[in-house]
Amino acid sequence: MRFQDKPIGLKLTAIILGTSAVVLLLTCTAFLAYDVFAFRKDSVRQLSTLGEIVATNSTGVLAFANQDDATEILAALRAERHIVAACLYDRQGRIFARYPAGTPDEAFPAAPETDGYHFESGHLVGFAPVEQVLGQRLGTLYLKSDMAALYDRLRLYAGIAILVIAVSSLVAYTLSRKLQQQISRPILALAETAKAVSDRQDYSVRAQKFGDDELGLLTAAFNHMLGQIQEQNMALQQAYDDLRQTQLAITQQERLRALGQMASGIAHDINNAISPASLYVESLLEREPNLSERTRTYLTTIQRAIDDVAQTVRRLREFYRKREPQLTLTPVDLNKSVEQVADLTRAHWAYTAQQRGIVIRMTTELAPAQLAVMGVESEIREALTNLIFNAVDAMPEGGTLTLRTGVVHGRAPGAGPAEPSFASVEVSDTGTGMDEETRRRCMEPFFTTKGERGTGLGLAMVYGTVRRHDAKIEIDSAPGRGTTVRLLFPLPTTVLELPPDDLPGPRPSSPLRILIVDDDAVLLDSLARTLAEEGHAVTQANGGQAGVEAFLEAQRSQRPFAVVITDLGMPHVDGHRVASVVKAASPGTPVFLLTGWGQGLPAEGGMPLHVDRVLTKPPKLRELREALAAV
Amino acid sequence: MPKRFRQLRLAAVCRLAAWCAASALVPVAAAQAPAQTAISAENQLKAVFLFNFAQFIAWPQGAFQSLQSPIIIGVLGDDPFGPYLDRVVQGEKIGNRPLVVRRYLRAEDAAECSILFISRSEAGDFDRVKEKLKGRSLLTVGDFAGFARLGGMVRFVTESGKIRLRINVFAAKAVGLTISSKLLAHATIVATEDN
Repeated sequence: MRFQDKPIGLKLTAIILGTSAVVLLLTCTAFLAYDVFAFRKDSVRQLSTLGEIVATNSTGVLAFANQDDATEILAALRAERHIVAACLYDRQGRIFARYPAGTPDEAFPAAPETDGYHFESGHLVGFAPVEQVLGQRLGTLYLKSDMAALYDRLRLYAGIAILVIAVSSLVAYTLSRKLQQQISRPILALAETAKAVSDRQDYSVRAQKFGDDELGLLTAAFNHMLGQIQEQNMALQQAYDDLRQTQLAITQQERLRALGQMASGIAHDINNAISPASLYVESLLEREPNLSERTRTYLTTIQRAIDDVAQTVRRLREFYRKREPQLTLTPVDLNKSVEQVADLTRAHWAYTAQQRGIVIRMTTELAPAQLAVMGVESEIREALTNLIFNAVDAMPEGGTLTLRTGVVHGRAPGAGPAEPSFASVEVSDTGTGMDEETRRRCMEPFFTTKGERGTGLGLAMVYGTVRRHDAKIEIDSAPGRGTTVRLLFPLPTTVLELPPDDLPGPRPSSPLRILIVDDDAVLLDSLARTLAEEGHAVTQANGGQAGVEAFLEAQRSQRPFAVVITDLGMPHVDGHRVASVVKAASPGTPVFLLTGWGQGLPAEGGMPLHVDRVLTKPPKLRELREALAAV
Repeated sequence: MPKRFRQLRLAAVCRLAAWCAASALVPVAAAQAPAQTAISAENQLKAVFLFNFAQFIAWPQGAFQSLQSPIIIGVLGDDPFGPYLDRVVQGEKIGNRPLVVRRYLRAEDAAECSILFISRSEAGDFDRVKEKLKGRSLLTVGDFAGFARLGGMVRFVTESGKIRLRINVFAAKAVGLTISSKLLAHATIVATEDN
């Protein structure tokens, strides 16, 4: 493992240890060098002092050639154990006396050299003049000292230095192990955080900050950066989710649009097809008092079946109808909506369930008085329908479905505890219930627990309706405990005037000249017969072109039609064209538009140009009477 | 003084071989200084001693006329050194004082000396010489018997081939001369004996 790859803590310790060891080594070396230098200097000084003393004492022996005394003087050097050899040269440079006595001449320099001391092969040697009087040289003293003392000293010093370095390295190691953490700990924390971030893609972790030094700043900057990344990541994720949802919604919308178009065509054909049946059954039941009981029962059943078909088609239409952004809120009685929805969905929760071999009971617990809120009735009905479908789907083993309306007190902001603040509609089932995850996500578009059978749009639509009505939605659910969905609509501050309920069937109006235009011969015929039975004079026109010609012909012959009832969807000349021609020729003549559904109609609530009334297919005798009575 | 005892004992032991040692010294000296064959090695050494005395003696103030006045080494009577002594002092200086060798026949002329070697030829006349030099601050040196005891200051004594010194410190002190202890260390101290 190279040094670069070692852990940072180890590196710091090594650096501190290495630095202190080198510094100590240098210091010790410097001390040692100084000491050696000083010791040598001292040795020279000592030896020269000794030499001076001996030389001074030797003047007499040399001057008066006293060899015995000279030998004795030199012998006194015994006391100085580092002196290994000494001798005196006489004035002529001959060896006069020697120490130790008996040393051969070869052990000494043959002749005295320059005065002074120098180191020579591990020894300190020197020559000192022997003079009694300055300038009068009597001889020369030679001294040779070994450097054992120096080497002893060097050994001692080396030992001390090694000991000092060892001890201080140990201390430095102990200290640095502790102190290096000051540096390494924040770095390690930072590294760990960075690793956690890169390993788990988790930008919410933060590195611990240990101080306000550069490392602290680094940590803070790193954390700040993480925060920014986290924010951007979240924004990115959000944008991605939005984009994905938008894409899904668009795809889904496209699908729905195609479906809607197809459904629209089917609905139109069904409505056209059942219109004669509806008209004839209604007419028979009303106009033939002598029908046998059996016939009457059958006809009633046929009539309900036709109504159910019509309602099914209407629901299709309601379901796939393109939403208008602008809503016209009208007073809606929630009790009535609940009853209507219960009827409307009966086929689903009663008959379908029975086919699957399960029993679903439906109970309604309605508020005693009418419960009026501002809303779009069809949307509220649709929302309730969706909730009922969900409830039925949640009870694969059967169960009880409860529709409940009521008033919730004191939950609106600023409302008193006893003040009624919300009108509530509950759809409650005894089914499987939802776990927390499902409960949390159930409003998301395209979230479904029904697999291929579900679109994932039901509750999303409910939620859209709720939002558009400033209402609230509450879901009580637990796995195995059933689900209760509660819609809370704000109660209006003023008492609402509800539209009048079904009036008693109007009587047939006075006889009128009526032009009916349609491209469906069967429908045309049945409508003509029914109206004729009411006492009207009816002229049929098969198709728009024929209708226009018939109307203009009648105008010219001074026998104009009092009312024009025209189909909307026709080849070449459609209902709008017919209406515009009629209004152009006779603005006062009412035009009724009879339509399968939706196509070509303007926004809900508005009336198409040149049209006085819109009648839906299949036409109801009652509606026709009412419309004609108003002419 | 153990040193002294040993010296004396050595002297006694070696006395028998005195002549051998002396004869041995001569050829050595001759070999080293072939020009001095006429002068015995002993006398050569004495000449050097005479010169060396100048380094170990302190003369009283007033003994010299000036700081540059020469130190005069005189030889009274027969000169045993010949030109050797002149060569020894040739060019030498003690401090600022040059060394000069002079020879005298009459004691009264030798009063200017600093160191005076009184030759054996003057032994019989020593009392008169002393009388002439009385009170003069000069170091008297001789080598005849009884020189120191008779009031001479330094006597050369040849013992077993070596020259020993016998010094009459009192005589020297009497004329204000100070003899270095280093010189005294190699000498036998004697006093003047009244006969």
